[in-house]
Amino acid sequence: MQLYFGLLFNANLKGYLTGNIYKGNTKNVCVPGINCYSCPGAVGACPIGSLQGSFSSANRNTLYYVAGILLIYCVMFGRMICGWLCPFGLVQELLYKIKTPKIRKSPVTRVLSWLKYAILIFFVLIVPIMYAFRSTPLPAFCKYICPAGTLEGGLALLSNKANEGFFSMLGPLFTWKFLLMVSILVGAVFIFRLFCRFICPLGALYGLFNKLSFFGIQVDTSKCIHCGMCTNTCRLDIRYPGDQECISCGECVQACPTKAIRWKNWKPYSNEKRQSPYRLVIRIISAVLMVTILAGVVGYYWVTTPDPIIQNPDTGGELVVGNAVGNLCPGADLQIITGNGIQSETVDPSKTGKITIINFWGTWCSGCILELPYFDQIASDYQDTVAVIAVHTNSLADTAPTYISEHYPNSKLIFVKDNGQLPNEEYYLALGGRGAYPYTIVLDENGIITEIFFSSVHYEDLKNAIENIG
Amino acid sequence: MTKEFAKRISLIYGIILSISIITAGLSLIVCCTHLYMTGDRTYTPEKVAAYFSLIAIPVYVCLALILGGFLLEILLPADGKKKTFVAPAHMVLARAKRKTLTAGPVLTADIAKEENSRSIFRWLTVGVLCTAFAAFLLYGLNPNHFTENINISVIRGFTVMAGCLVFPFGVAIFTVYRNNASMQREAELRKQAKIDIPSPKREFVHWPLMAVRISVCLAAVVLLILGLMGNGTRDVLTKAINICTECIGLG
Repeated sequence: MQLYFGLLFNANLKGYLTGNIYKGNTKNVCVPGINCYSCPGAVGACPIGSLQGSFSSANRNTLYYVAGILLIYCVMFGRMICGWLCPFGLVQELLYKIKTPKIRKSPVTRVLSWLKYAILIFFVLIVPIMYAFRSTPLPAFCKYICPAGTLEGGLALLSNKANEGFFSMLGPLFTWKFLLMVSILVGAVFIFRLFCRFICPLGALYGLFNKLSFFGIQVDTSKCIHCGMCTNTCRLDIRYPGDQECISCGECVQACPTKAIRWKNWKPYSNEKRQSPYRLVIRIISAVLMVTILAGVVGYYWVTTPDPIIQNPDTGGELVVGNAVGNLCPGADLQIITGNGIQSETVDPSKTGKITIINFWGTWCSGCILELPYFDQIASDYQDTVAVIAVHTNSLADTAPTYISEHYPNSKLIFVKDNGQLPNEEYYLALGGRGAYPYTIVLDENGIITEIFFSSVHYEDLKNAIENIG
Repeated sequence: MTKEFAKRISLIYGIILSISIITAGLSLIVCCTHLYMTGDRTYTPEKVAAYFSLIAIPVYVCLALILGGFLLEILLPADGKKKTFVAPAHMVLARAKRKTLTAGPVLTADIAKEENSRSIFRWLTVGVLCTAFAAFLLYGLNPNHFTENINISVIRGFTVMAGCLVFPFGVAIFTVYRNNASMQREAELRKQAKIDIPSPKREFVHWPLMAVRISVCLAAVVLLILGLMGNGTRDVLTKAINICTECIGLG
């Protein structure tokens, strides 16, 4: 079942081939398990990432929406999601199958399982909320800890040749996350579901609702003889089946000698030795149906995901992407954004007649927000010779005026909005953007591309880029 | 081939595989660290390929051993390991409490002493945890601790969090071990006892569970509808269809 849902949540197989992430409307919906939305195959949003992002959103309704979805998952399934739906849980269970000596549970692991609550409180709640007060979106768990993001998002993107430029953005953060991911995966060979038991904040949240959930495991206390077979069979740190550590995998149901453990409101399989023939027929039909649904979903995403081709607005043919160093930068009339709103006046970044720095950013992107001051400083220091143009994404462009009026009211930066029909970012794509932000391009006075930065930049990087042209 | 021999081979294989996996993991870690710490600290596909070609051998050996393990399982199936079944202490005690027993005054006092001591250690652990949590909240809810230097702020916060957790976790582990031993002792005493010892009944309030479930569900639906009507999905979609590289650790 975990494999099935892993494939279902990552049904955009074309993304693995092209190296682009899916941009369709199904990404409005959060999937129940940990599944990074930067994975090329992901067709839904990650609930923990969305929750952290919602704290810094200007629109309070985002938090209501994400909280509503999470509460529904919590009260319907509790931690059953971990046992049956989570793709990263599947990865850990497969690693655990490798035949090595194992580290069994003990009172130490029981106490260590509380660590995930501390991670939930600090990395998922406190840090994002505190930085939301500074108008800086910061999904701290995703940025500093999540191994699913590194494995499914980072490495999956890097492994595609089309994303070779991403290597230039790798630095200390990636090094730390890669080391953490390797440690967790190696540890998962020896310790059952290491990440789920000790680190996962989503599991911590779901676990709080385990007793309340509609579906899951519960013990019939009138039949229980306290033999301990259930806790002995279970590889997790439960005190009794159905507590906050229980992932409702069902191993204890079969182990109980008095059949005191049962499924709440559902029976995925029967404990009876003799099964009616109709049950077999129903199972076969269900299996065929599930495979058909999966094939249909994969086929749907394969057919509907557009290829990353930019159309030339004049000829309707393919636009030659001019993102290589030495190429002439394509032009575009981009609407200016000020603190008063999006204006009708436009500016063409390729025709300023000065050295031009084009930075693609968004108010939703923490890396972009953190590097804007450097662009502001450069615009101020080199205002006579350099034009610095900050191109906000088409998505959420209406949040830019408020941000600009609060943080850059008298800036020499020229803020503009990208073109195109959502979810496309036309100028960004025309300049070779691969969906990753921030993204910076430096042009000389003639509009020739001299430098491309795929990652965050500092003041010194921009200064060197300007001086190299001079 | 005797089963003993198969078991021994299985054990030796398991140890060799463990060492190989740990070696492969450590090689990856060392490689990555060395790549980052030396040179100009930038990754390129060529550098990465060169570094990882150095550790290709341990990784391939590891993979071969993993596949070999599955073959070994087919050729030399080891017996299903007979787990030494040890019931958890709280289950042993619960079982002992169900029986109607008789005991003398000395044993009754001893049983009460065990229960009281467990209760004291439990409350002590709760107290220590709450104090640590309060101390951590005092730090965490102070906006001045979260400066523009995000990495330093988070590292400092994590250090404070770890510092706040070390002592309480130590106390909790000690309490769990101590209470487990106490529960085993009490179970033994109850087995020897000769008069009825009613355990102190904890007043259990039976919440109308289904009502709570439905209420929470309704609250969730209301939040969802509020979010949908207020265009709350837009931010979720924007974050999901664009890659904030630092947010996924590419930085």
